Amino acid sequence: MAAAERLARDRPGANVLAVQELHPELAEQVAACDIAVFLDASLRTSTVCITRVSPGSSVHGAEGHALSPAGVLALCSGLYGHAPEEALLVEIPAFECGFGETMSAGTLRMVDYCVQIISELLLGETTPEILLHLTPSPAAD
Amino acid sequence: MSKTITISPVSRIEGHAKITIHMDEQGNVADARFHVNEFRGFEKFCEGRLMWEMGGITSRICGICPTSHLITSAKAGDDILAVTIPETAEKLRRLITLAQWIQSHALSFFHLSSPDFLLGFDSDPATRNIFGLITKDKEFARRGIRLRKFGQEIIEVLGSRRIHTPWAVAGGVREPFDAAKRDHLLALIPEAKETALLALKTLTSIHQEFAADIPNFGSFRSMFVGLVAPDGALEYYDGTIRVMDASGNVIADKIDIHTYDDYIGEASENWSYLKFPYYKPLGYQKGMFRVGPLARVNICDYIDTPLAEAERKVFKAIAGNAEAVNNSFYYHYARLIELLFAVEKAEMLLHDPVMLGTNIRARAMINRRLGIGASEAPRGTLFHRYEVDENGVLEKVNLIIATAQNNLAMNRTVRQLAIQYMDGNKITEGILNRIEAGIRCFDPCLSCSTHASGQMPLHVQLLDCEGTVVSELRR
Repeated sequence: MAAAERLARDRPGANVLAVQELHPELAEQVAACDIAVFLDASLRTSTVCITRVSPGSSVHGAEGHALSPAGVLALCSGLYGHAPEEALLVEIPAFECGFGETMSAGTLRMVDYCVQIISELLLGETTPEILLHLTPSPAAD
Repeated sequence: MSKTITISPVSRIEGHAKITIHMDEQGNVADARFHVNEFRGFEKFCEGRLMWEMGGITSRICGICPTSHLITSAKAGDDILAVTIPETAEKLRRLITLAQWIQSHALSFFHLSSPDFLLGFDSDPATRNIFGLITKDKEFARRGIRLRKFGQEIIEVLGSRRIHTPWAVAGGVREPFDAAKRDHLLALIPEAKETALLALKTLTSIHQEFAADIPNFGSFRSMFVGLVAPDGALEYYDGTIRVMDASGNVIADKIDIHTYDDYIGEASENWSYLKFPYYKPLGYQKGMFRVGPLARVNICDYIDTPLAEAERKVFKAIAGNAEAVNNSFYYHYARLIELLFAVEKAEMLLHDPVMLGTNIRARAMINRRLGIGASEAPRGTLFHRYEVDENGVLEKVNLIIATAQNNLAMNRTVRQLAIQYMDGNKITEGILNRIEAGIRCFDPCLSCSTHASGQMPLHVQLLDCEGTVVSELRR
C-alpha cells in the first residue's frame, strides 16, 4: 500500500490502484494496460522478489471472494479479450507484523527500492526482463 | 472399520476450510463436519486500543465486507458517546451499507454460485467456475462484474477511497455528500437494476431444473434471526432483533440489540476455529438458527421497495406463505431479492434531499463504558460490543459475525448432503460438488468469522464407529 501510494503521488501518469484484495471488477482497468505490476507485502521472502505472472488457465486464482494476480489476468483475457503484455508480481517482505504505526526499517528500505525500480520501469529506463534478473534487494538489518 | 473422508480445501468460499465425513461400519454416513482452519484473533488484540481506532482496525478483518465492520463499529462508538447521529449521517451510512450488500451479493451470485447453476453440478470441475461461465455467456459475466463495481463505486464515492476509508466514525460521518456525486451514482442505477432483475430471472428459471437436488440442500427446520425495522420491514442498518421459528411463528420480537447476549450464546468445538452461536433460550444444538438473506427475507413483514416486495411474495409462496422457507438452497433466491432491494433503496435514498445536508456528525466525550452496535452485513447480523475505560481504551471486545451464526446450520447442511449423496465409501466429483455448493448457499466468509482467541493446532483424527481413535495426525 505504501509503495502504491508513493507511486501514485510521484508518477501521476501511472494508473495506480490500491486495493485490499484483488477483485474481478479490476479486470476491466488492468486489461487496458500494457504492463501490470502487482505489488504485495509478503512473509515468504526476506528480499524483494520479482516474478512474471501469466494468466491463470482455469480455476487457479479465482476460487474465493478474492483473486490472485493470475486470476485477474485470466479475467482480462476472458472478459475483455486483452491482457497486459507483461505482468510482474513484486513481493515486498514484511519483517514486523505487530501493532505499530510505521513499517519496520527493513520494509521501509524495500519500499524505497521498489518505488525506485518501478519508477524506472514506468519511465522506460529499465525493462521487465532486467527487473526479473536483478540481484536480490539489500537484505534487512 | 469405519472411514473418514476428507474434502480439503473447500473451494469458492472466503477463507480456508475442510469437511470430514465419518462413515460407520455399514458404510453409512454417521456424521459430517465443516471444519474451519483459519485463526485470526481480532477480539483479543483489539484490547488496549482506543475505541476510535476500531473502525480502521475491524474494517481490515475482511476484504469482502470491510464496510459492514466500519459501520457497525461506528454504531458501537455512537453508543459509547451516547449520541443520536444527525439524520443526514444516518442516511449516508444507510447508503454505504446498501452498497456493501450490492457488491457482496453480486460477487456471490455471478462469480461464485452461478457457475454451479448455469453449467450444472455434474459438469467438468475444471471449467465449472467463472471462466466456464465466461465461455458460456460472456455478457452475463460482464454484467455481474459491472454490478459489483457499482456497489464499490458508491463506497468509493462516499468514502473518498476504495479501501480502509475512515469515513464513518463514532457520531456520524466525516465527509458530506454532494449533488455531483449523487448525479453520478444515479446515472448508474438503471443498468444496476436491470442486471439485478436479470440475475433473478436467471436463477428462478433454473429452479425447476434442479428440482431433484433442491430438497437435499440444507432443507431442515431451524429458527431465523435478524434485524427488522420498527414496522416490520426488511432492515439492513438498524432496527430490533426478531426470531422466527421454522413454522413461521415470531417467537421473540423487538429485542433491543443491547440484550443480544441474553438470546445468543457462543459455543466452541475442539475441531473448528469457528464458534457455534445458538439461541440461548433453547440451548446449544436445539438453538440452531440461520441468519443472512434467507433469514431476513423470511422474518420481515414486507420490503419497502416495489420490485423486491413483489419478488418476496413469490419467495414466501414456496413454503405456502405462513411457513418459513426452510431450504438453504433458497439463500440464493433471497440474496438476489435483497440485491434488487438494495439497488431500489439506493435509488430512493439518492433522491432524498436530506442526503445533501451538511450536519453530519455529533461530537461528545466518552459517556458510557459499554457500546454495542449491530447492522445487517451481507451474510447476516453483525454485532460489535466494546467495553472501554473512561478514556475510551478498549478493555473487552466481542464480535459476533454472521458466518459464525450459520455454523450449526452449515454443519447440518453438510451432513444432509453427505447422507443423501454418499454411496458406501465411493466419493464422486458430483458428491464433492454438491457438498461444496451446499456450503456456498451460505456464502460463508471465514476470514471474518474466525477472530476468536485461543490455540488449536491442526489435528486430524480417524475414528471408528465407537469413537476410538485409530489414526491421528498433529501439526
